[in-house]
Formats: sequence, C-alpha cells, structure tokens
Amino acid sequence: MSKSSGWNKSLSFVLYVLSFFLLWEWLRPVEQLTDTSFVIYFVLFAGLSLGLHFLGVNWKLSGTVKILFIFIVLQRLYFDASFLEVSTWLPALAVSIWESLILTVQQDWNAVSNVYRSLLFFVLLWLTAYLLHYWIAVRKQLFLFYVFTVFYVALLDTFSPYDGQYSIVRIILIGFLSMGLLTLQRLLDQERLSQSSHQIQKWIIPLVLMVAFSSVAAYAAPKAEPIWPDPVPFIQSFSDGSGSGSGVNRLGYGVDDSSLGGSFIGDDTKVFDVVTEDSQYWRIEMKDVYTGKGWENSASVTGEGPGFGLEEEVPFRLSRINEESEEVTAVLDISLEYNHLVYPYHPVRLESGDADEFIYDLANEKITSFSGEEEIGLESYEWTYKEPQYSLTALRETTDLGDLEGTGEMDQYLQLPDELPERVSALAEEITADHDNWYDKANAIESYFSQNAFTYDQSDIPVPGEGQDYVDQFLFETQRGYCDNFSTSMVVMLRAVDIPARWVKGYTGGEVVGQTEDGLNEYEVTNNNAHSWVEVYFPSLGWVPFEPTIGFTNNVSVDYDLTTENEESDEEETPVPEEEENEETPAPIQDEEVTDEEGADENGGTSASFWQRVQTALSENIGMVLLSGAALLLAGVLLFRMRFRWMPRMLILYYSVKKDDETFSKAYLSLLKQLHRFGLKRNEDQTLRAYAKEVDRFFSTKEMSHLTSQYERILYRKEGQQEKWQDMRELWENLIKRTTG
Amino acid sequence: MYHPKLEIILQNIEHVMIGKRNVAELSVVALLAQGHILLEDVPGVGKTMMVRALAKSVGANFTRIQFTPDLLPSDVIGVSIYNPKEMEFQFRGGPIMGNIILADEINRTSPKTQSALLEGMEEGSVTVDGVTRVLEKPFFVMATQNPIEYEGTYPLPEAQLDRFLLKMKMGYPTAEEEMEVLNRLQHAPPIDELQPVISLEELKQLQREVREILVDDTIKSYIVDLAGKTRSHANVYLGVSPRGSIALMKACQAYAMLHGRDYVVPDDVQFLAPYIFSHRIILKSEAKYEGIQPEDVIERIVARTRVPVQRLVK
Repeated sequence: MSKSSGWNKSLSFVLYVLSFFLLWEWLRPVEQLTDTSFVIYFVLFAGLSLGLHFLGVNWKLSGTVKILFIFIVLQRLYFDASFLEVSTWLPALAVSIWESLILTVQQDWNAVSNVYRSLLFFVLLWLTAYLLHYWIAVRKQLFLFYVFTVFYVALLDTFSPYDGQYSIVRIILIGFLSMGLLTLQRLLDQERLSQSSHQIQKWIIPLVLMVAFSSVAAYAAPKAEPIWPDPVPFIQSFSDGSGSGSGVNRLGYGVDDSSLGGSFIGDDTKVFDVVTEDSQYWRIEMKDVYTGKGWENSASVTGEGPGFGLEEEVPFRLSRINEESEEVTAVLDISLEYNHLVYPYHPVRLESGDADEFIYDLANEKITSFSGEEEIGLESYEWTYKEPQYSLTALRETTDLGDLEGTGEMDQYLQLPDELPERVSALAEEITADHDNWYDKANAIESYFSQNAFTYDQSDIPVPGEGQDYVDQFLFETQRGYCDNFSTSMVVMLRAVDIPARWVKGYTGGEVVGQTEDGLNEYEVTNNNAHSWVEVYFPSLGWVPFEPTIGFTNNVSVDYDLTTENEESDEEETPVPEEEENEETPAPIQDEEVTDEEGADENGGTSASFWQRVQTALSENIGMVLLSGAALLLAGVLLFRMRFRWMPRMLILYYSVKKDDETFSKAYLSLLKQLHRFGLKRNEDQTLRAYAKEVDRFFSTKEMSHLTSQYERILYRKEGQQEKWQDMRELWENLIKRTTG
Repeated sequence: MYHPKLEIILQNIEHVMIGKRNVAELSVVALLAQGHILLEDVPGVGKTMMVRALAKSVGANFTRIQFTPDLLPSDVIGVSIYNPKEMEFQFRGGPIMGNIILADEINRTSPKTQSALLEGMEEGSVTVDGVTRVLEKPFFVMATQNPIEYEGTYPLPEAQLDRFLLKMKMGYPTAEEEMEVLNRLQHAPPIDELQPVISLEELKQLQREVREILVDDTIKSYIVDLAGKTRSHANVYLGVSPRGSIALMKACQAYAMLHGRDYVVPDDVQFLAPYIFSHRIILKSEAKYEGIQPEDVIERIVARTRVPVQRLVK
C-alpha cells in the first residue's frame, strides 16, 4: 500500500512539475512583449503556489506564505525602504493600490500604478495555479489548459514579435507527457488497478517512447510551407485600418522594422489627402542600422533635435538643390493621425498646423508635433517646399567621401552586419565594376533589379529563417518582393561598395482624386502608399533619394547641367526633366493603388485574372461577406443548440407518415436521442428499463416504461412492430412533446 | 409479474426467511437452471433454513451433509455392504442421493471428499464399485463455506469453484427484519408449517421450459462482451471461461422465467453477472493485496460495457 502511494506521490509530483513548465510558457512572452521586468518573481510565485498545492498545505498556511511572498516582492521591486520598516512602505503601497482601484472603477486602466498591476498579476497567477491544481488533482484532466497554452503561444507567435518556435515544441512535449500521465492516474483510479511499479512502467515506458519518437519524427520530417498566407496583415487591415504605429503593425506606416519579410495584403485606409502641384514622395524617417533581418536606429537617444515653429525656416536640409527652384505649397488633410509629420524632400516652411512646436529628431529625422510638452497629432498642416533637383554634374563628380574621408562621420551609413554573406558584396562589386562614380554605381544597382529577373510581389514573401540574411535571401533565393526588399538590398549593396546610404520610410505620392480651381492636384494617400526607398550621400549635395523598387518612380529631377557648374545652373531646363518624370507618375500611381510597401494588395501589377478580380471583390466586400457568414454561422449554431426544441415537431411529422416494419424501433431510438438532447442522458451501461424508470420519475408518468417494455419485446423477443406502432404512437408522441416543454 | 408457480415458492420461502428475497430468487434461479449454489457466510444467518424451505416447497427430498475433516468420500456417496442373507453386496446410498442437498462447511473436509461431491455435481452421477449410479433429478446442491475460519480448512481449488452456478452471501438482516424473525420464532418454527406448493414433476417441467426462454443475439453478444472483458482486465489473472458465459446465459433464462418473461433482457444479465462471474475469475496477487474484490472488478466491467439497445447490424 505504501509502495503504491509512493508511486502515486511521485507521479503527481512529476505532473506538478510538468504543469509548472506549462505555466512558465505563459510567462515567457510577458517579459518580451510587455515592459514587465522581473518576470522571474512571477515564475517563482507560480512554482511556489504549485508546490504548496502539491504538498497539500493547509489553505490558511499556504495563503499566508503566498501573501507574504507577494508583499516581499512588491516591496523589493517598488520601495527602497527595507522590508522590516513596514511603517514606511506599507502605507505607500496601500495608497497606491487604493488609488489604482479607484482608477480601475473609473475605467482609466492605463493610469493604474505598476504596483497594482503586479499585484493583480500575482492574483491572476494564484488563481491559475489553483486551477492547475484542480485540473491535476481533482479532474485529472489537463487537456483544456494544454489547448489554451498552444493557442496562446500560437496567437502570440502569429500576432506579435514573440517567437514561439521552441516554446511550441516544449509545450507539445510537456503537454503530451502530462496528459499521458494523467490518463494513467485516472485509469488507476477508475479501474482501481493495482499501482505496482511494474504496472506503471508498462505505461510510462511506451508513453515516453511515443513522445520521444513523435518528436524525433517531427524534427526529421520535411515541413511543408504554410498553405495560407500570413493572416496577420489581413486581419489587421480589416480590424482597424492598420498602422497605429504600435510596433507590431506591418501594414501602412509602422515603427518597428527590425524584422522584415512576410506577405502583405492591400489596405486602402486613407492616411491623408494632399493638395499640391505634383506627385511627391512624403518622407517620415530614416533608419541606418541593418541587422541582417531589418532596420534599426543607431542613435540611443531619440527625440532630440532642433525645434521650429510655424512660418519659420525649417532647421535642416537634406541636400543642396537648385536654390532658385520655385516654392510650392502642399496642404495636407490628415485622416489617420500620427504624432509625426510627413514632409516633402525639400521643406522650407510649415505654414499652418495646430501645434506649438515641431521637433526635428536628429536620430531618425522624424518631425514630431508638440503642444506644450505633449506630442499631438495634427488634423491638417501646410508645407511650403521646393521640388528637389540635383545637379548631374555634381552627382557624377562624386567618387569618394572627399573631406569626410577618415572622419568617421559617415560610418553609421556604411555599417553592415558581420554575418552578411560574402556573395552579397561580391554581387555589388560585380554590378558596379564598370562605373567609376557613385551616381552611376548607384544607378547601376538601382536598375539591376529591373534588368534581372526580379519581380514585384507582396503575397507569399518569406521571412528570413534563423541565421539567414534578409537581403541575401531576396537577392539569391526568392528574387521576389516588395519595396522593403528592394530598398534594403540596394542600401546594403551600396554600403558594400563603400557608398554611404540609408533606408527611408514614408509614402509615395498617392492617387490623383481631383483638381482644384487653381490647377492644383488633389492626391489621396492611403496605407497602400506606405513605402520605403533609398538615400545615397553625396558629399557635395547631401542625401539624394533613389528608387530601386520595380514599378515605382520618384519624381526626383536631375539637372542635366553638363557643365562643371553645380546646382545653380539653368532653371529653364528644370521643368523639362521634371515634366518627364511627372508624366511617369501616373503609371506608378496606378501601381501604387495596388502595390506598395507595407500596404499593398494581391495583384501587384500583373494583369488581373478572374481569380484576382474575385479576390478584389471579396476583399472590397469583405465586411459584408464576413458579416453574412457570421450571421449564417450564428443562425446555424443557434438552430443546432436549440434543436431539442424544434426537432420533436419534425420527428412527429416524420413518423406520422412512416409506417414500415422498422418504424417503432426508429421512432424509439430517435426518442432516446431527443431525451438525451433534452438533458436526460442515458449512461452507456444503463439498461433501457432502468433508464425508462428514470425518465418516468422525471416526468411523473409511466409512459416511458410502458413504451420501453414494448420496445424490449421487439428487440429481445423479436416481435413484430407494425401493429405495436399503431398502439404506441400516441404514447410516443406524448413523450416527445414533453421534451419541448 | 412473476411466474405464478414460482411466485408461490418465493412466498413460501419468504414466509420462513424474512427479508431474503434476493437470496430466495437466486436460489430458485439456480434450481431452475439446474445449477448449484455456493453460499459464503457466517453461521447462523439462516442458510439451512433457506435450503430446507426451498426443499419443502417443491416437495423434494432434503438431505444434509455436515463436512468434517474426517469425512470420507463413502460417507457422501454411499457404500456397498455385504448382505449375508442375499449373499451379495448391496449398495446403501449416501446423502448425495437426495434431491436437494445442503453441503455444510464444504471447505472443512479433505479435497478427496470434496471432489466426490463435486464430481457428483458435475456429472449428475456417481460411480461406486464400478457401477455408475445416476443421481435422481432434480439434483440441487447448496454448499456453504465459512469465511471466518481458515485454520484446518481446505479451500476449494479455483477450478472447482467453476462447478457452482453462482456464489452468494446471505448477509445479516436489518434490525426490523431481525425483530420480525424473533417474533415469528417465538412460538413454533414456521418451517414446520410449510407445504409443498409445486410437485417435483412440475419442477422438472419448468426446468425443461427454461431452456426455451428466448435469448436474443444482442443479449448473447452482451454476455460474450462481458466475459471477454474479464479476460483482458488488468487486475485479473484468469478471466471467465466459456463455461462461465454459458452459466450466465442459463441463469438469465431462469431469471427471466422467474420474472414471468419468455425472453431475456439486459437487466437480467446485469443483475446476475456479479453472482455468476465473481467466483470464476482469479485476481492478480497485487490486486488482492490492494483489497480489491472480484465483485468490484465485475461491477466496473459492467459499468463500462455498452448495453445493446439496437438490433445488431448484420
């Protein structure tokens, strides 16, 4: 007896440990996704709770231990005073919790204090640990928790930066093991099997072997590519028009570019309308550190830079352009408010905008609008800018950094990850080998993509795997992609040949939707227009944009001044190239409507096939389709759930016309089913008689017993049923009607 | 709803035995199915009274063998004695030559004597001095075992237990029942007043009719299912043999007849299975040490077996 209870004890110990690991999997992402630090304390608390449950400690004692633990942790984390100086920190804690409690009631959940959050989290963990204990010790079923864990990690893996690759493997292993062991325990209990070590080994060894075998098989087996495209962009675009800038969004404008790749689906949520002369690329920010997976900023401090007000000259200049270019204005009417402003390539002044100050952030070149100390979004603003025009001569003259050589000032724009595969640099060298100046080299790389078999595509674009370089994957493996692929690749290749370059984000010019009376165009910029491109540094000029993405054209005009004069050359010629460029814009605009950076859609520039049209129609009416689908589903579910209400009438109708040999049996069996739906469940081992008595007791009749005795005669005595059905139909109908009551 | 004649027997027994309806029914079932009963209980709960009441009710010849360690097989079967007048051996039948026999404390006698009785039960005949003598029908043995005394006993071998159709316990009466027993026995034992309510011929007729009780294929497969599960159960060392399945079916037929039906229903099977099966399985020693009883195992098997409520799909 003691031996078996020893087994039982160690078995449940193993189960508690396994469930602890499962619970741990819930806490792992918390550290990465939220700003919760000290997750270790929560893990410890989970372990402590489960341990106390395992030891079966009296609830008063274990409650005290847990509360003590919580207080010690809260005190350690949030208060400086030592734990024993209760009088100093306890009141503060109480006040903080009380205030947060009031805020909670007021539904101002963002304002609650961290202490309160931690406390709530502890309470949640406490409950979860109790639930786990209940599942293990009482129900002896862990399936529900296991499924939830899998869903949780899968959801986080899909919708957040959390990488559940290994987590899911651990969960599967732990989950299978613990469910197998629980089944063993349940069997031991239910069947009262003897719990000898022999008996248990007979169970555990195959279990462990099975789990091990299946994991090895899963590891070794070839894995198919996912059948569905990544659902995230679609769901996001549908849910909120995307791009709230909260870090994980990849549609429209987003902040986090640290892991590029993956497919996109179009999202035509309007970002802003702009009334101006010509289509214009709208800049938001730049990034300079290529990590091998995406882009980050090298600057550790952000938010610092020169400020300026309305109608003041902007305190920065991206590049030197023809100073005498005409000033033009752009009025932006914003639909999707951000705290940052989009700006054209050569901004002069901000004419209007409902903010006190604007900060030009030197770290990422973002312009943020402030009202007092607070960042605010603007509903509209007006830029005065010049359309950029670069001197071809000056561009062509550049072959090195000139005075900047050796100063290290441009180093951040020449940075490349150490792991960058050799072949990327080799390719860059090969492409640029025939050219001597930077401009031609840059042009060579820019046109390399369109001259080779690269295609623009947004669906089914892979994310680089572990240890794989994003650019390398695009250049040598997929050769398919969207603006991020092209622009990143170009920057990396430029840097590989020692040309300083950086990655810029913003929007393309948008689609012409109208014209104002004074001949200005009105452009609509949507999330589909979100875009990324390349800027190359020319010491004599500054940052000059390049557009490597196939199907896109920036309206950068180059001044064909073949004299050695620089940018101050003839303005007369200026319109000509500008016009040329501008004429091209409609084409990309059409493309943009379907393609584009982080927005974009399905048909990417190829001719629209029937299937694509269906897809377009679907995605346009997706609201209706989803809604009616959901309504149908709901109706179906309701009908199914309520079937015990309407089924009887159908059954009565059905059996009132049926009169064959088997009618009685069939009617009786459907009555059994109906009673089951009604809630009078018959156990598998319950005989019809016993069940009939139970039913009769419930309805206080004798009808079921009567009917059942006739059915028994049919079933066990092989009596004919035809004449019986005549007699029994009324009884049967009565019974089945009762179930609708 | 009981069979009219059998109902009277039950009433007769109940007249003597208070609150032992279950035991009475099982005894009648065994009698009808031509099987034998093993009663396991402490002394003084009315085992003898039970058998005597049954014997009297059917007008059968009742004999009793009190087994002791020194009892010889010939004391059971009978012996040939030389008759000097006739100048030949004459057979004098032993107590086994009765119709209804109470074999009291069967586990206290030597295996040799036990097997003499058991052979008679199995074959329906005994062989003495090379002459086979057929036992008179009906032949019904009710053997008792005393579970509290183990010293100097010869427990029946497991294989021999198979010879008994069913094994049951009397159990103590409840307080009210015991009061009623005292009341009735204050003056004269009511057993003396019992009159036969059915003739031996009628009994034999009923025994023949039992075989005609309908057992549907669904019921047969249910029985087979149950028996099969005893063989694969993790706590069971040796499961129920096909003889056990046959016994269950026969008992079910008798039980159905007792309840006035000419067909067997699953309820019969469920009711009888523990009585028929529990002495036919041998538990593993681990299970025994755990304190698990064969009855528990059978109960669990019944609880896990699907009752047939539909025609078998051919």
